[in-house]
Amino acid sequence: MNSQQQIQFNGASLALEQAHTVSSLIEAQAVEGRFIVVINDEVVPKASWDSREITAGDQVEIMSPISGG
Amino acid sequence: MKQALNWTVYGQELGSRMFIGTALYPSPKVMVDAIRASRAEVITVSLRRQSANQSNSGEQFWQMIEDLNCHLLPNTAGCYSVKEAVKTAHMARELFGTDWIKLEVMGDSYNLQPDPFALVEATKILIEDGFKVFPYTTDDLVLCQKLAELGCEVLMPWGAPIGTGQGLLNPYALKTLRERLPELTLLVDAGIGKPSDAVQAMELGFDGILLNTAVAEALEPEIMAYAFADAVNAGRLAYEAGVMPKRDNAKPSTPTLEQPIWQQG
Repeated sequence: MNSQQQIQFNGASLALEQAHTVSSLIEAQAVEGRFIVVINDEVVPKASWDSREITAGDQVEIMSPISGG
Repeated sequence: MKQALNWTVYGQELGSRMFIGTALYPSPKVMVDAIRASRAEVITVSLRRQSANQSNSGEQFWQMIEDLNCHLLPNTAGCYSVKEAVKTAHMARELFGTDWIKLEVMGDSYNLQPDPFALVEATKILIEDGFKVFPYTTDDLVLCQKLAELGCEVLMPWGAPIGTGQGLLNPYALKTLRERLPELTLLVDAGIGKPSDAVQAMELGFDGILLNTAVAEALEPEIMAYAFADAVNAGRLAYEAGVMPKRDNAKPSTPTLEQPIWQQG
């Protein structure tokens, strides 16, 4: 990747300086704990995190457990 | 204390007939203490997107619910469309590792009344996708029949709108559901305010109740959880024992045989 890629990460704009897979993105963003990754409204299974590449315009959401009734 | 018989929910054997929510407690410790006191084996949970500046927001909560060692029933709270609810259900399955889903598709933001049309559509999709659906529904008989026809083994009609604590606003409708859907597992979900509401639901023959606010917003949630656990058990035992029919006229409970003649008749 020669230039920055803009994505949406948890609802905020994020400029990526280098190419990322899901795995490297969550590591770079220091995401921890129990969570799943949703890209463009689709759940990305954990088995695909190493191979799924992030592309410009992706909307990446990290979903975590919360209390509920 | 005698306990009501065990029961099964989508093939899972359970002892307690109370499901309890994990929201609204004054502190995480109070939540854990109250859930333990309730003896519930199923707890409801939800999910949300992490905020941009908080990368581990779910971890503490996850540790607490793991320690509770309960079955998890994720919900689709806050969804107002079929698309949102189906998407949320799929996310919940991945996050919590269960195909159980408490399906909420709201139609009205004022009283959080389920949208019956969207509920049926979302239920159909999710059952085809392999979910075990627990629909949060109104007490409408025909709607509940439709949900059962789609393959729901469990239905969760409301007693009253969520968080109102109004109790069972329409016992007739709930009694009708029990009579007309004898094979289904029925839980009253929402509106339970006090233990006597839970007793009433269980005496009507409901298989269980789901509550949250009534415990979480009590002055002493842990003590209230004990009260609800006993109430649910008492109501179920009463149902299993067979409640006497109401009569219009008095009938003496003390035998009149051998009484002096002037005390008879």
